[in-house]
Amino acid sequence: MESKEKERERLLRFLYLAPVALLEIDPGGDIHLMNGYASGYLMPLSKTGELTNLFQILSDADIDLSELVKGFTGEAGTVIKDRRMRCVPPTAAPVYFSLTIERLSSESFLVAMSDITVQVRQEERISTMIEQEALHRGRAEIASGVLHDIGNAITGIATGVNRQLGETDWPEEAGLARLEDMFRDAYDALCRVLGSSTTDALLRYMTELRATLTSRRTELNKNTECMAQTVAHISEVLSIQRQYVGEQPDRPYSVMPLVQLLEDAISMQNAALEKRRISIRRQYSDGAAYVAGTRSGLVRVLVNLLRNAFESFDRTDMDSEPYVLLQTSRSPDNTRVIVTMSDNGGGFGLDPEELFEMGVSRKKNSDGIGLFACQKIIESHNGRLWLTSDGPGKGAAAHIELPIQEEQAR
Amino acid sequence: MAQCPGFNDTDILQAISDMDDDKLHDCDFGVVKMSKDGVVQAVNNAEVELSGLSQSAFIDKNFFTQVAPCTNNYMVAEKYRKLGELDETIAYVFTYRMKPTPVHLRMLKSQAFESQYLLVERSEP
Repeated sequence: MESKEKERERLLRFLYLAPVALLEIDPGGDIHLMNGYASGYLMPLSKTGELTNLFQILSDADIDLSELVKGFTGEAGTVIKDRRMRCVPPTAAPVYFSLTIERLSSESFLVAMSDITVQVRQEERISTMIEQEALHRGRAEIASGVLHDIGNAITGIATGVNRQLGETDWPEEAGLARLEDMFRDAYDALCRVLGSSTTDALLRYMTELRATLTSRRTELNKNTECMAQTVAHISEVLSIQRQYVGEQPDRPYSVMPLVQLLEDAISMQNAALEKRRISIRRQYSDGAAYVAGTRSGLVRVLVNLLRNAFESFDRTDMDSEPYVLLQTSRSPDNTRVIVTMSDNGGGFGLDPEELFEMGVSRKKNSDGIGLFACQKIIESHNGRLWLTSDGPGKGAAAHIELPIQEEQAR
Repeated sequence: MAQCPGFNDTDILQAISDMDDDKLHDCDFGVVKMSKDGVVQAVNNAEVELSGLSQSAFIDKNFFTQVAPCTNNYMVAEKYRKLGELDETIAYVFTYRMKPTPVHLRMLKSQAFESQYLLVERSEP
């Protein structure tokens, strides 16, 4: 059995060491009882070095305790509960308390305060992080939108430029040449009718006109080639920038015929095809399949894979005519379309999975972003991209599997 | 044997360090002797009387967290933790028997001595 003295001391210590500030104040704020934590919390806030009146000590806080206590009209009960209060000690950073005041009687109020500064600081840090994240995401979204729109525009320009590149011979030039030949064949007859000086002048005019036309065509082709290179460069820059920004998942998808995407990609690579004398072979067994996605993203992947195929020929001594074979087929369950882009180029001996890792490339001057980016784009379309090869010098194939967009969903 | 010096004496740390723990009871102000990490090694009768606690409530306990959490702030405990040399007197309010009690605290610490001390003198009403 504990003595009354020991029991009293135990109770005092219990209250004194309670890890929350406990005070008894009167309606005017004078402190009558307080425990250790109350003193520990309030002393740094006291401007006078005394702890006599709670309202004075907390006069700079963002809550007017005096008003709250005076305004409470009940006989007993809760004046405020778990109210957050901010205080600024004279020589330290702001501190935060959770404050509860209970009216015990007309002359007695129980005040409980717990220091929640650490919690508030964490909340502030989290809030700042959320704001920064939102800001970052907002910026990324804007950047992604801009890149997406530029990408679409560039894809359009590239298609036009590459069509222009395909027009190597002008029919007007050939027609003029034929007319000139006709004039030469009928030179004597024309001289008789027009006179020799007029006939010679006409022939000279036609020759100059044809030379000018040839010169213009050559110059235009040169400019178009430069433009194609610039467009290809811009596409590469956009591709890299997209990786830094990250594709936004909410980018609106459109539904497109897969074959159209393949043909657009081929069209964009016409110059490279002709330069390397590579033929394109087509076996579209499912030419009617539609896929849903971002046009610029999917075309970018196809162009990248075509370029990989072309560039593999550069690294190989070819005995046979270089070609790229494009095939389409359906999965056995009829829900997915598979594009296979195979070539008879250099092939590879690496583990195909390694080629998808950022920084791994077969090319000498590559940052390895291409295939990594392609895989991410295809995966963002709920698809798969994988590579196969029978080994170095034995060609390679890129396979893309995408969900087929059903007719009613278009 | 050394006599208890006055609360405001200049060389009090040297004098009080020279005293046996038993002689600390001769001081008419509270004396808490602690290790450098705040564990109470001795407390005199004046402090026991002021606090209303028994000796056993002090000894081998961390003074700032287990005995007097009212001192566990930047005004008192932080100074002991951060400063190598400390001799500072401040007005403070203790809560003896749950009543706010104005006191003067003299905080003493030196690298020359193994123990640190907190002297407590009740302010004149």
